[in-house]
Amino acid sequence: MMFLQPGLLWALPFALAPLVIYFLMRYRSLRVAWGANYVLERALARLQKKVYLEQILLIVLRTLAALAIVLAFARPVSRQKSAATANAGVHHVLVVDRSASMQAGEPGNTRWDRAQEVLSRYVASWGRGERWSLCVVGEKPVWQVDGETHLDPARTKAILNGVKPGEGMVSWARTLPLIRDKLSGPGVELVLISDDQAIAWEGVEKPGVAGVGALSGYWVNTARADYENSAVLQARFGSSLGVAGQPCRIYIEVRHYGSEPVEGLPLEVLRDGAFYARELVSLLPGQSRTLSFDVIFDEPGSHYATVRLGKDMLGSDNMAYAGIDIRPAVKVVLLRDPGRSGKFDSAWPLLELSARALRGEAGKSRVSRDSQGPSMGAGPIMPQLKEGELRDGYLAGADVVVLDGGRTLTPELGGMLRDYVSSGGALILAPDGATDIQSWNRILAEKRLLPAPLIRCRTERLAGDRFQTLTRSDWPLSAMRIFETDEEGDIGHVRFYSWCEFGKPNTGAQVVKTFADRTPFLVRQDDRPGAVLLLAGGLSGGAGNLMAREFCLPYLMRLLTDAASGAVLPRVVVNGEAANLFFRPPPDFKGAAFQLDAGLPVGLTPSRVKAGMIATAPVPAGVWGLGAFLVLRERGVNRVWVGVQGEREDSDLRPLNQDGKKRIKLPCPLVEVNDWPQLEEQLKAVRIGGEYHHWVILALLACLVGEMVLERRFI
Amino acid sequence: MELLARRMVSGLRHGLHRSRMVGISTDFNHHKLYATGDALKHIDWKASARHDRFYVKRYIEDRSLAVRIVLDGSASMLQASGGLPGKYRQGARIAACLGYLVLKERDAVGLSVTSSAATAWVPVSSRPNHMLQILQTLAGTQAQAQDSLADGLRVILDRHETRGIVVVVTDLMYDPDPVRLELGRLHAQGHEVLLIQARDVMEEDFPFNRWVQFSDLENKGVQHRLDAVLLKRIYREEYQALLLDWRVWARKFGMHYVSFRNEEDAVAVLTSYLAVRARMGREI
Repeated sequence: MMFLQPGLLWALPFALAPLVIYFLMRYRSLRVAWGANYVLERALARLQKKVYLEQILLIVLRTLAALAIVLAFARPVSRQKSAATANAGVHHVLVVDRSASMQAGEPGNTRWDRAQEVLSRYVASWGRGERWSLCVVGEKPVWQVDGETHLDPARTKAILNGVKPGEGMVSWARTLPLIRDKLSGPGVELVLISDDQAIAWEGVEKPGVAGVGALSGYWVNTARADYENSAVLQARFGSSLGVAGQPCRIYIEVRHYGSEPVEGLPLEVLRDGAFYARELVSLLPGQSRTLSFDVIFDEPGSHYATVRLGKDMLGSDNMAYAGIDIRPAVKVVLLRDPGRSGKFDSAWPLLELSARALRGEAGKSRVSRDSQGPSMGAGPIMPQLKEGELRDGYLAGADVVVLDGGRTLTPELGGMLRDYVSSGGALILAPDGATDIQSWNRILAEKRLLPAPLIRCRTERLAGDRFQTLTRSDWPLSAMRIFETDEEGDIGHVRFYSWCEFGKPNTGAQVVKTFADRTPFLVRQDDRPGAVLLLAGGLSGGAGNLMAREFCLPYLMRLLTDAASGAVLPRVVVNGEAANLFFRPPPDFKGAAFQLDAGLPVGLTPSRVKAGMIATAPVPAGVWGLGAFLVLRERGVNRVWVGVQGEREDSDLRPLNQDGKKRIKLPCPLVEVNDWPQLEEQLKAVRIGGEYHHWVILALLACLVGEMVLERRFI
Repeated sequence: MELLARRMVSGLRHGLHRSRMVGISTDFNHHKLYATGDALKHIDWKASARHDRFYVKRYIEDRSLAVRIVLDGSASMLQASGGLPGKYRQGARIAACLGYLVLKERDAVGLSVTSSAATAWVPVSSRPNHMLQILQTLAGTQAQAQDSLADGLRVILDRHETRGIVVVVTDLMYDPDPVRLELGRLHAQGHEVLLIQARDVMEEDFPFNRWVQFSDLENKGVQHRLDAVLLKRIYREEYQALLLDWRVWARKFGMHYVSFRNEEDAVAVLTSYLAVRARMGREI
């Protein structure tokens, strides 16, 4: 027998009240002088034995009545069902949701904390020798314990304490069919601990998903009005390559999943772990917003930025990391024929002008000619002009090589460019009216350096009515999305009077930007670690063309850094995919490893490629955080930061509404409870049978009848 | 007490005398066949002539009536409850009334107040001032000690008192056998026995619903502590059984038995009894 209110059992001594009253009444008896003593003694003689028996019986009856009253308030319950299942063995089946949404709530009072408390109390209610199973459900269900006998409560609790919430999402429609065979059966007591996240329960009501009527047990819903969640969906630098001292734009996408608008969410950007910038964000229900910050890194090398959203219900989706490589400058090499006058005659001075403008040195040319050797300027763009025959090593140090349209293309030059791209270089093809389209198509195609075949190049009369324009939208490259706004100039006003027409892009190539008439403007072909960009127009010095505008300097900068980033493999990877690092091994190179979120480094085996090595590290699914490639040297370690991101499906905490709950209870007739007292109440009612109301009342009535039969009265 | 007796009896006398005058001859009783030795003066010649036999007239013996009142003076007669007069007081009232009534009829009356401690004895007399002695005895005697009624009755036998009426006023709360033995002897010797039982309300109803410590009035130190609730039914049964037993026994020996509760009016009790007695042709 168990009691629903065991605390009232302290009142059991009150059951002795009739005995106390008996002696009290006996002690405080009425004193009467009596004349009919003869009759009294006759009556006593007749009933002497009976009187004692009845006295005892009466006291027992009254004591039992008092006992019944105390027990009635203590609410005794039977263990009938428990006893019935004890022979077959009670089998406690725990299904625990460890998805990210379980971390929602105030610190110290999250859904997971409440789940842990329920688990702890629930395990404490088990009897020794009862079987139990534990299924931890994340992206996939894992049976951590399968039919183990519960002998040592400490061990059971240790197993449960070892379960930690993860980053993934639970889909009960996908999970329940996988585990339902073990969720029912004789003696099985199913306790499913999860929240009421609508997207997690989505689809459960579909016929056949969970097995109609197959599930019975308890659903401990630990959610408590903590549904308003906002998340950082992603954070990426416009380009994985930046220049020291130059703003590197980071794009942050945030979304609010709640049903109420939020105001003043602090969004912080940390540079290499130190606070850098902050902005308050207000979001409407369901609204996504992309914010951008310009982060300036002063030192070359590998850096990372941390994006952090504060004051939110679910902390796990409030952070994102993004890595970036910072170079001292972007070295640009322009290949052209000597003495050529054409499209780049004015483009080259523009590059020079841009370099000086970005460097802050007006009127001072630092452009080096072929004869002058590599430029040693300290600005963000270091242009070099290469004319005539190229010598070995000319392209080795260049970040970007621009192939002018008028350059005579020979197979040797094609081979050299091929080597350059294969070693991680970025090649910009700038065909124009002087281009030998046939030789370009042939030689570059042979070297797999042509993203799209050239059809023809058109040159229209300046200020005429035939020209091409760009739209300010639909930039697929994040680095170029800035031109979708007016903040850096309206690129849509630029008219192109000279442009090339391309054929269908090759496999693996993508049209990055089109003209207003949807013909390609920029086609990119990633040739990891290098890249080839094919421009239909732009680097032209003609009046009205793109590079003639000062506000296009940022465009140029980003185009060059974006092109150059081909050699820098993405510093933001999606979890579940592989992170790659292209590097040129230092002389004292010893090995490479990958470390994720300050965990143990995992050794890597880099593969050799032209001009370097590529290390590939698998990133498991459901992992978010900051990773780092470790290039191990005899003296020290080079660390290259990589942000591990991915789509978080579990950020939407919106709960099931009442209709939704009704729908899912058809296939899953689980009894919903919110905390341990409610679960305990249900368990006692079902596991240990009903309350002994009727028995207590019967006992009380029996005592009353006993009194009446004896023609006595109650005290 | 005398005033009370006067008041009570003055109401009774009229009825009594009238009853005596109606229809019944005072002397002649019946005829009897003549037998040798009978006085010739008693021969009823008219009747003998009619029946051709000698008949002798028989007359009721013309003697004075002797009434002995025996009042139980044991301590149990002190029982009084609820402000009502006690059994002893009620018994004394009835004794006084009867004594006065008897003396008014110029009959003789005597009084005994019996208890184990002391027995007051007033001899039978018909003198007019004898009432004063009776009243003094009733007033000067207190109920005390144990019951000694059997002894008191035996004294009547031992003294060979004139046959008459023995009126026993008691509560009958004792072992009946010794008393019945003496009463039977009195009856056998020609005494007419009248039993008057005084009952106390509380003793009969036993109205207790809690623990009670009963202290015996007659025997100091005898106490019974018990839950009256448990005993109530049995006690009442025993009480009524005792009353019934006395009633049956009295009827069996032709004795008159009058029982009253101390809440009842003594005048009414006595009046109703004397009326019944008058209808039966008995004297007092």
